[in-house]
Amino acid sequence: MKLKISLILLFIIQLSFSQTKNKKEERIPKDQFPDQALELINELPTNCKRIRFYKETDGDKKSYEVKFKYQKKNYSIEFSEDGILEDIEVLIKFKNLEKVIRANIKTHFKSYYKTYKLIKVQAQYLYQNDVDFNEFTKYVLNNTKELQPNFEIIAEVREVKKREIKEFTYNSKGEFIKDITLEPESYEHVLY
Amino acid sequence: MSFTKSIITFLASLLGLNIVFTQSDFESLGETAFALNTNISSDCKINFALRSRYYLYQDESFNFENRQIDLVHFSTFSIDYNKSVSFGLQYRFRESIDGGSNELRVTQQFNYTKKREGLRFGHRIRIEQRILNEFTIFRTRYRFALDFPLKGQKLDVNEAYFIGAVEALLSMSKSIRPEFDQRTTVQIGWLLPHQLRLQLGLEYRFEAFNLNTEERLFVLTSAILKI
Repeated sequence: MKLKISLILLFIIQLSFSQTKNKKEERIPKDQFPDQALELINELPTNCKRIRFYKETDGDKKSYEVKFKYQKKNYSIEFSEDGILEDIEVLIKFKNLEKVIRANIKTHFKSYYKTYKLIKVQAQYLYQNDVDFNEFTKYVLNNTKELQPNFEIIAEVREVKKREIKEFTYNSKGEFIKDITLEPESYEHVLY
Repeated sequence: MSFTKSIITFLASLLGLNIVFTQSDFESLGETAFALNTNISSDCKINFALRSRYYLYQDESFNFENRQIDLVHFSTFSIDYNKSVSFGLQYRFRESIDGGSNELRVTQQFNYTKKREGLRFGHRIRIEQRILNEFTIFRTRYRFALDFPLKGQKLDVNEAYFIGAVEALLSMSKSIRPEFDQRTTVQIGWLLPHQLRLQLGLEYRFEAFNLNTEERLFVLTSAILKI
């Protein structure tokens, strides 16, 4: 009887593993990363730590991401499927933003939501083709003022009855560009 | 994938320990649960579970013997994205199975999580009133749990995850001396399509270690379905 149950369980697991995967993020070894992107990554400063490679699949669309730590800050560089640089993101603290930018963002939240709570704040440097990659990364990693980043904020917002987690994008002045609703992460497997 | 393999090896070796235990105060039990979760609103979710517990190893020999069946309900209210309070009601059927006391259990819970990249830490405080036929036990417990996906930083469908937890429990009652318990749990789970999760794991319990320690190894299996 027990053997039968385990066999059925195994069968279910096998069946579901063989189904097509729609959206997926996974850590991959360096050698599976696009060559063109690796060439750029090799030019990063040598004291970048904890370099990790990720691949994201969303339907037919693929993208690649490398994450690392440099001078105590967390960076991630996104590449397209062909290894073309798209943007660099760096984790920052909201309180370290300029006062004007902070005020603009807060005004936006206050005017649209009853309450809000910031979960993650990132500065996003979109790559412009007219700049050399090395110059670009140098500017970003040294946090020089030459480049104007966007700000990507993940926040929990509450309207009258609904609570949602959203990702907001603001421009370098703190003006709202767009938002998308994120699926709340489930904690159900450990809750109870 | 090698990480998954090493965890499975670790679990299997723990399971192997079970066989070499010879103390008479050691028991091994199995616990199988089926849970249903559903969201009522963005602030409230409810959970129902049916759980059975059975002896696998007892009095220095392997045998299968049912011990109890639990019917469990939890209502959880989110305070915000990482804090929640829950209220639970559980009925344990034991009298007709192994002659022990049936039990009504009322639970109040606070849960707090913190996320760092793929790692998630969870702190859970529970207060329980275990109403038995003869007396009532008041129990407080604190659990620290850690979970992470085994592939990348986000748990996607068809991916496995790991959960590790340690929990300290203090039981008090008018008729028995205060009792301290300690539990350590490791589990591997799979998130399958249609919001189904399967979990397999082991829990090692040191029960009443301030009085007369009883050691128990639980083999945990569960299926959790979200509807």
